[in-house]
Amino acid sequence: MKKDMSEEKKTRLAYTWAILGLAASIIVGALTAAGSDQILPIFLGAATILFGPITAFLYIREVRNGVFKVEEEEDE
Amino acid sequence: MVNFAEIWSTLDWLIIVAYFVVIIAVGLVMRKRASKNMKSFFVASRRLTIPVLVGVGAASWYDSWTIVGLAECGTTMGICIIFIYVIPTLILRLPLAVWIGPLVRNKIPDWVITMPDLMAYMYDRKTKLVMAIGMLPPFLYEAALLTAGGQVIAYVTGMNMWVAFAILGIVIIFYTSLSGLWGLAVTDMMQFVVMSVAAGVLCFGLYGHFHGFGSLFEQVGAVNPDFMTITGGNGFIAILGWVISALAMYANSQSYQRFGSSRSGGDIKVSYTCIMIFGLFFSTVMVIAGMAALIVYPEAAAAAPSEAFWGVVFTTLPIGLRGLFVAALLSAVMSTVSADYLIAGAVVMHDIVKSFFKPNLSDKAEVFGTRVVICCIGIFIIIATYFWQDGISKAYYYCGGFQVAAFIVPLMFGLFYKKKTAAAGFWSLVLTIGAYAVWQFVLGIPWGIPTNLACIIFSAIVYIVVAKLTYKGEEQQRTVA
Repeated sequence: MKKDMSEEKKTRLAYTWAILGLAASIIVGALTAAGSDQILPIFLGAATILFGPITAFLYIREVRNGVFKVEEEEDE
Repeated sequence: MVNFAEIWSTLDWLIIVAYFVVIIAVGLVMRKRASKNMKSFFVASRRLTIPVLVGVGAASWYDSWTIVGLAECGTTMGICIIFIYVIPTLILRLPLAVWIGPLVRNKIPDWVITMPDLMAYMYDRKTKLVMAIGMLPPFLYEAALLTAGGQVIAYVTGMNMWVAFAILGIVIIFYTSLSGLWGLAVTDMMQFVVMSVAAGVLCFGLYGHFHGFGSLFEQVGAVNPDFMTITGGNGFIAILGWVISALAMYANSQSYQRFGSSRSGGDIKVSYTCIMIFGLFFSTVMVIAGMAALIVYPEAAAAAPSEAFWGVVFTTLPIGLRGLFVAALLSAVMSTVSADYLIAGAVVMHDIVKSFFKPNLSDKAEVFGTRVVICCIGIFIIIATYFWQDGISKAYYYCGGFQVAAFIVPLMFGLFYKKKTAAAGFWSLVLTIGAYAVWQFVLGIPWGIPTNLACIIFSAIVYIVVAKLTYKGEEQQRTVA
């Protein structure tokens, strides 16, 4: 099984995501308030359409790494 | 209005049928894995990692209200809902993701698997029982979710609405009772992907239909200038009510179940911050789709905003993708309802029956009992859909509000208040449940102060006063013990 990321690394990654989330809030809020014609729909559309498939790709990689397999071994 | 049944194609049918078949197959495949004990059935043996948690977290947090409810808000309130609900939701929930969730996962002992267990750990068994009983009425909200899902199937296929409710309800009972959270770890991910892709496709569909969002915003502003302002003409108290409702997830049993199912606190931090960013994009698309409904179907939007929303979905999306969007709505409904059925089963069997009546129940018998309870609750909810015909928003307001108002203070103070006492947890919980009913139904929301806000303040005051009165006594008892 693949070695897991350290807790410190995960925390750093989470803070990066949190900052990105706040930045995304400001961007979406500003574009909506300004009545954006092109940037808002392209940004929103691309982000939502890609979010699921990218997560699914990482999920499949995780399944291959044995996230479900561990339980099977424990059962035996 | 659009005749949905007329433009519903064979390809759309195929997508929906394939979706149901795959969901049922997952239930069968994951059955064995979930049967070991309550820890494997309810929290997937605490093995879930970041991408899996993103799927189970997002699919359970974002339900049909996030789609149809927020679209209705877009139709009736305009862009302000993005500023008073969608964005505050992301900001206010960040502490839950980076601080509270990891704390619950890392510091709480292994025997704590449900929210009432957490109460027993922080306070006592009496408080656990009150919370377990208090958690049951809000499960009626599932009837509203089933109604939303069944109505859509009925709209688009022309099928009898009650048959649609029953089919949807039975499929959810089937895969949830068989496979527990292990099954949901697979189905929720599929449902999350469907929701994500469908929202993106809808956004580009709207973009194509209006040739950009500029003309859409202009037309909405022409209908009602308030709809294009940040506050939407709402007063301070109304805005505060919306902002406070964004805190609902702090008292949401699904959140704590997901925290318990993660491999580590770090996995929660990363996955839940990702989920919140997705929620921002997804919710904003739904609000804008609701605004489009106001322009494309103004008469229908005035009479039934949700019907106008579906009209927009069906006129902007091509064949096949309509089926995908209906599957997305069903995904949102099914993932949330299945997660709540699982929790309801555990509350009855693990927190009430095993804890107070049958302490010697074996692991296998507990899992079997939970499955039976899920089936019974599922059937009850299908019957209850009859009473939720007049809209999902009301159900959310009454049932969702109750949970936040009553649970948030004992939960948060229990985790962080150094001078917490069992009496403080118990009385703040009991009195706030009573205060909610009085404020909401007897006094009729005096001075327009939202019930959840009034009750959270009341609950905090009760907690602090009782804690101050009982802290020394309980500390002495602990020292003697």
